[in-house]
Amino acid sequence: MSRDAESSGTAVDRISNMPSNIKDLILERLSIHDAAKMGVLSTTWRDLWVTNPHLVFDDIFFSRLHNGMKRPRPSKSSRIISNILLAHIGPILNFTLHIPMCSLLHNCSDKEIWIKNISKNGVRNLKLINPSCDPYKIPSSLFSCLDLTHLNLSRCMLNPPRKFGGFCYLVNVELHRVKITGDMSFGTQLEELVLHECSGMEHLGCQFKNSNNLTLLKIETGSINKEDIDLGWFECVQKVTNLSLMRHLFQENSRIEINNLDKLLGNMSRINSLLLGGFSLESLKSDTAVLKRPMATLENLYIHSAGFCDSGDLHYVLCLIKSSPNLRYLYISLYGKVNRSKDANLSHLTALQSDMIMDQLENVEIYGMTGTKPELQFVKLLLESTPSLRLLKLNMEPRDNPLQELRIAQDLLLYPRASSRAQIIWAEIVREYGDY
Amino acid sequence: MRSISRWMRRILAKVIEFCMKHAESLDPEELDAWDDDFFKMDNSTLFDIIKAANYLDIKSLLDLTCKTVANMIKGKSPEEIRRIFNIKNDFTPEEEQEVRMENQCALEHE
Repeated sequence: MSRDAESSGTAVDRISNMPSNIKDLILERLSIHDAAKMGVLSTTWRDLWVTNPHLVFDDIFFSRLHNGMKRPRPSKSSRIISNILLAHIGPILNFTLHIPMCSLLHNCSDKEIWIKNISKNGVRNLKLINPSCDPYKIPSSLFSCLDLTHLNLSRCMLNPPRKFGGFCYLVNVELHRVKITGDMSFGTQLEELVLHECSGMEHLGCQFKNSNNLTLLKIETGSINKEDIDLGWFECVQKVTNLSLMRHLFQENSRIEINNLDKLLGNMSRINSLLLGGFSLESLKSDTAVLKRPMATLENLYIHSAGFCDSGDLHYVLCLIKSSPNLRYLYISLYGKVNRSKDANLSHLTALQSDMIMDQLENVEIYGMTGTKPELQFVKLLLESTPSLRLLKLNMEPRDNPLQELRIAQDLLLYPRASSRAQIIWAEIVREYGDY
Repeated sequence: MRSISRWMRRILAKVIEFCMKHAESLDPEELDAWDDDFFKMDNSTLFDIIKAANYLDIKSLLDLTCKTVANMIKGKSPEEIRRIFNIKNDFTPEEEQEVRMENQCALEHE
């Protein structure tokens, strides 16, 4: 590389003379090991290392640590982290702790001391990843981290103190497999909330009773849940623009419902992006309030694991589409539905056909088609009602059935199109589900 | 009225080239490949561009240039890093001993 060969030529140390915000940006992009290495180079860099506000003890850190040892020694690893924290001066803005599975650090109590330490040092961005199946009980000093802006917890247990007022500056919370044991509020500034396979979510309801700043809500559950999910605790959701409700179907589980889904959608008057997957959409019957008043701000709709041979889903998906007159992008994935009966009730399709015009819809992706009648009717209806359509991407399941593909393609060619610019493409790569 | 020196003109030209490319192309893969090529420059120019991006508050350029510098540091020994960036060792021998001991975790397990 040219860089190694030619240095700056005049032997001037430019990097050490950079403004401090730039040196901070460079340090932020270095692992702990590399940043510590910088610390032995000169007095300037020693000061920078000691005041480095980004302490990321992630799996890369631990694997480099363990590479040098014959076998991982938890006392030594623990001592190294403690020493770094002890020698540190100044605020710690960014703290990540990701203890690897193999390490015996799981059982040591130093973690609590570290968290207490950073709570006193103004931590803003905190990430605690626990890979083991036993949830890690987060110490109460977490709730003293009053400068927190971003919180990311994995496989932990949150035991909020009573009358905890929330974090004044917290805007982003991501919880993976976290168990919440008591009512708690994250604070009024919360904008983004991601809950992945968490339990005790209803304890978060208190902060959503009144006006709040939530704009992004993403809830994912696994297939462990056999009961319907109740979202009634989300009362005040006016500012939400992105909603994602996803259930991963690992086996052919019964469809469970989201209670109050229609009420939720009805209250989200500014919703821009909606993702629904793995839930039964029965609560969206066409006579519910949400579908009487259109979702005028909805531009992106992602439906995952829809089953069009099941007469239910097709009807509700169509209702959703019809209630979104300004929809610009539609994504439907038909995977995950094993029970595909061939005959389905197409009467509601024809009923909706007459008055459906989606004049903003430009981009449609449909994955996992098997060529059944309802699917084809749906595509036909879309082509007829979308005068602005530019791209329709389709994909078949199973993949290598060229005769089937040809048959579908022949059918598609015959359908009239409202948009003269519409292109129909067979997709090679399938996108998992909508990313924002 | 001050005229812009030839050096400054060269740096600004590079900054503008970056901004225009990133404004016109939307394909992330194409941009990545173009960026790799763009950042094949000598250290002096690189640091000049960092300062320009910082002053002009062009976040994406600042981010990429700092990432480029970080990549030059990753995985190198302290001596190599000193050589690449001309960082002068201004520790006294005692201080150096102290510092090396303190940073055991960085140096012991390379």
